[in-house]
Amino acid sequence: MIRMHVMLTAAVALALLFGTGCKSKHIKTPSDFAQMEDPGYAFEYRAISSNEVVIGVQRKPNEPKGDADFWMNVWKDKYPPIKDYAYVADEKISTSAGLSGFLLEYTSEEEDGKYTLMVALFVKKKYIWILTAGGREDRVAEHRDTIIAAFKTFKP
Amino acid sequence: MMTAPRPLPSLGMFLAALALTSCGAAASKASYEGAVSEPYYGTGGSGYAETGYAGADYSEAYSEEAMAYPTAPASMSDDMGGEGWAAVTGVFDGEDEAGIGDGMLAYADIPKDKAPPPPAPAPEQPAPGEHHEKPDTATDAGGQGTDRIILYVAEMNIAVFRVEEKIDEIRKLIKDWGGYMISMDSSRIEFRVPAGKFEDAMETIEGLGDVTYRNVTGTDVTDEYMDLQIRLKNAIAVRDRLLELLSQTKNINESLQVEAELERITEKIELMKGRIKYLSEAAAYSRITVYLSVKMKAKKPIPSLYAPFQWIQDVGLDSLFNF
Repeated sequence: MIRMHVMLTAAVALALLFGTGCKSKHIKTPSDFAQMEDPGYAFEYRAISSNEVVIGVQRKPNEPKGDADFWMNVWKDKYPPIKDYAYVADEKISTSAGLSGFLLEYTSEEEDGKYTLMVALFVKKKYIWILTAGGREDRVAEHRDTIIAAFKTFKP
Repeated sequence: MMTAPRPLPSLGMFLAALALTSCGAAASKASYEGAVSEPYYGTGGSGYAETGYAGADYSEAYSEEAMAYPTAPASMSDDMGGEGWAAVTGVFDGEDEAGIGDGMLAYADIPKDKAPPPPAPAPEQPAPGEHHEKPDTATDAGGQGTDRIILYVAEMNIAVFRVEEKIDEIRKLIKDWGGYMISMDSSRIEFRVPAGKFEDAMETIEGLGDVTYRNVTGTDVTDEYMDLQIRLKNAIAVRDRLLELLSQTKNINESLQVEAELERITEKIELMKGRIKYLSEAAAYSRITVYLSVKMKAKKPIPSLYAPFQWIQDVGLDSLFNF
C-alpha cells in the first residue's frame, strides 16, 4: 500500500501537469479530478482526484453475449469472491443520453484501511462498458455525488 | 460459700475431637447429622468430646448461631459491579464472618431440623462452544439446590486485518459489557465479562474477524462450593469455641495448646474464605482470552466456472490504482 501511495501521488502530479487539457469522449471529468493523458493499459479513460480517488473507464467484449441483467448478476454474485470484496448495494443508473445500466458498490479491507469500489455497467451489443471509481472509503464518500454525476455523462 | 472451680474439659480430648471434625466436609457433615441437643460446650466433668461435640449434635446450636448472623450488605453486588455477581449475592446472605457474607449460602434460612439440601444433579455438559445453561443463572444456587455454579472460560483466535484497531475495539466493548481487562499485549487480550454477557461477548468477538480457533469450557463447582461452606461454618464454630476455651484456661501450657489450635483453624478459615470468594467471582464473571493474528489477503483461485469472463478479475481497485 505504501508503494501504491507513492505511485498515486506521482500520478496526481502528472495528471495535474499534463492532463488538464485533455477532454474525454466517454465521460466528463469532474471539476475536482484531473484526467490522465495516458490512461494506461486496459483503460479507455482514467482520472484522479487530489486525495487519490480514481475514476476509470474500461471496455470489454460482451462475450458470452449477455444482457444487462446477466452481467449485473455476474458482478453481484461472482465478482466479490474472486476479488475478496464485500458486496454492498446495487441500483439502476441511467446516463443523460438515456443508456440504462447498473451501479454496484463494494468494500475491501486493505492493510491501511477500508476501501470502496463503485462499478457502473453499461451493456451494449458488442461491448460491456465498465466505469469504476475507487479509493479510501471516506474519500470516495466525499466524492460520491460527483462520481455518480460523472458516470451519468458517459457515452460509449 | 466458696465452690471449687469446675474443671476444664480435657484439652487432649477436645483437640482429638477437633481433628475428627475439621478434616473435611465428610466429617463436618457427619457431625452435622448427629442428633443430640446438648449444649456443645461441656458443663464440666466428663469433658468436651463426651458432652456431644465429636459424637454429636451440633445442628441445633449451629442453626441458632447462623440465625444470629447479620445478612450480607445489600451493596455487595454494586461493589462488584455486575449482574452476574448480583445473582450470587442475592442468594448468599447468611454469613457475615469477617466479610465473607458475599459468598455464603444462607444457612440462617435453613430450618433447624434440616441438613443442607444436596445440590441438584448436574445437567448434561454442553458441547464445546454451546451453552445449554445460561451462565447468568448458573450461580443461582438459591438455597433450593436446583441450579449449578458453573465457571465459564473461553479462548478464541481471530484473524483480522488490523490487530491494534481490533484490540481497541474489544477494550471499548469490555466497558460496554460491564467487564474488566485482566491483561493484554500487542496481539492478545484477556478479560472478564459478567456471566450474563458471556454469550453476547462471544458472538460479538466472533464477528470481528475470521475465527480460526475457539474453545469454551464450563466447570461445575457446585459441590465444591457447598462443601466449602459447610466446612467453613463448622470451622468458624470451632474457632469460636476455642476462643471461649482460651478465656478459661488456667495455665500457660493450656493456653499455648489452645492458641496453637486457634492458629491452625484460623488459617484454614482464611483459605476457605479465599476459595469461596474466588469461586463466587469466577462464576459471576466469565473469562475470555482473545488471540489476534494478521489476516493475509489471499488471492482465491479462479474456478473454471469463470472461464468465459475471466477478465472480470482484472477490474478492481488494484488495476484502478496501477499507474
